[in-house]
Amino acid sequence: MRSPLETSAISTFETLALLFAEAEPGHPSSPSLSSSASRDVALAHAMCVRFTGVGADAFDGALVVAVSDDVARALAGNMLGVAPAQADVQARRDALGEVTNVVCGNVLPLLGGRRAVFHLGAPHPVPLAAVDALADAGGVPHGPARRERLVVESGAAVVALFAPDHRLHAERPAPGRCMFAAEAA
Amino acid sequence: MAFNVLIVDDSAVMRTMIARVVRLSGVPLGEFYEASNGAEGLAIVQERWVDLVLLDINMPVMNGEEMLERMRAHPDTAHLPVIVVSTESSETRVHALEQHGVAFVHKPFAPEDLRATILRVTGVTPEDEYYAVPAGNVGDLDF
Repeated sequence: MRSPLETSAISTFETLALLFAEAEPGHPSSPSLSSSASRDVALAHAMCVRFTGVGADAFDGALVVAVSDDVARALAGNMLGVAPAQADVQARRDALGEVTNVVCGNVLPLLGGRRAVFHLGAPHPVPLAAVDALADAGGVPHGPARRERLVVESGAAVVALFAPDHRLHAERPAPGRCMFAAEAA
Repeated sequence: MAFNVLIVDDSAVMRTMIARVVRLSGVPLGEFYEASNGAEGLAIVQERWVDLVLLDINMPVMNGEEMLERMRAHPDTAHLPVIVVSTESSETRVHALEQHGVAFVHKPFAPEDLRATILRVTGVTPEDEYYAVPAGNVGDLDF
C-alpha cells in the first residue's frame, strides 16, 4: 500500500504533468536526499514549499521535490507546452515548483486531517547539497521525516517531507489499517 | 456569445496550463485576462467585462477567498460565474467557498475534468457534441 506522500506525488506527476510515475521498486531509503538515485540517475533540480499550520494541533514543515534533468524538461514540456529540449532552467524550475506545490497541498490534509488549515509559501529552488541540511534552517524539524523515491518515465524523483516526527510515524500498513499509526483516531 | 475569461493564480505555470485547457474547451472566447493575485484579479473584474473567473485560493497579497467575498459583495460582480481551481481540501475553507456558489476543480486535475466543468458552468455545448444527440426514434419516422 502506498504512503500518502507517495500517492500524492504519483497522482500529481500522472494527472497534472502527464508523466507515468511509480515507486522505485526494492530501493531502501537512503540517508541522504542529495545522493543519486539507485538507478544511477542524477538528481538535478530541487524545489521546496514551506507550510505553516493554523489553529490547534497546527504544525509547520516543508516539502521538497527533486528530479533528474530529463524529468524537469518533460515537466516543462507537458505543463508549459515548450519543447523539452528547449526548456530553459527557469521553465524547468517553474514546472517543478508547481508540481511541488500541488503535492504539498494534497499530502497535508492526509497528515493534519480534513479540518486542518495550512498556508503554503511560494515554491523556491534549493541546492541539492543543502537539502539534507534544510532541517537546520527556519525551525524545520531536524532531518527528513519521510522520503519517497520514484521512477518517473525514464528518470527519477525524490519527494521529502519535513514535519514533526509524530505526524509521520508512517509504516507500510497492512490492508485495512490506518495509513499513519499516529493518526488512527 | 464570446466569453471573456479571467484566470487568477500566483503560478505562471498554472495560468498557462489552465489557459490551454480553456482555449481547447470549445467555449467561444473573447478577451483573455490573467492576474497573479486576488488584488489584481479584483481590479480586472471591476474595470473590464468578465464572463468567467478561474480562481486559485492560496495566493499572496490577496487570496482567492477574499477576492471572492469582495466580488459577491458588489452588485456588478455578485453573480459572476467562478470556478475555483485549487489544492485546497480543508473542509472549513471548502464549505466557506461553496457558500458563494462556486464550482470546484481540485488540483491535480485532468484537463478533461476542467474542460467539463467549464462547459457545465458556461452552459456551452461545443459543436462537435451536437451530433451525438439522437434526432429521434426510428419508429417515429414516417415514410
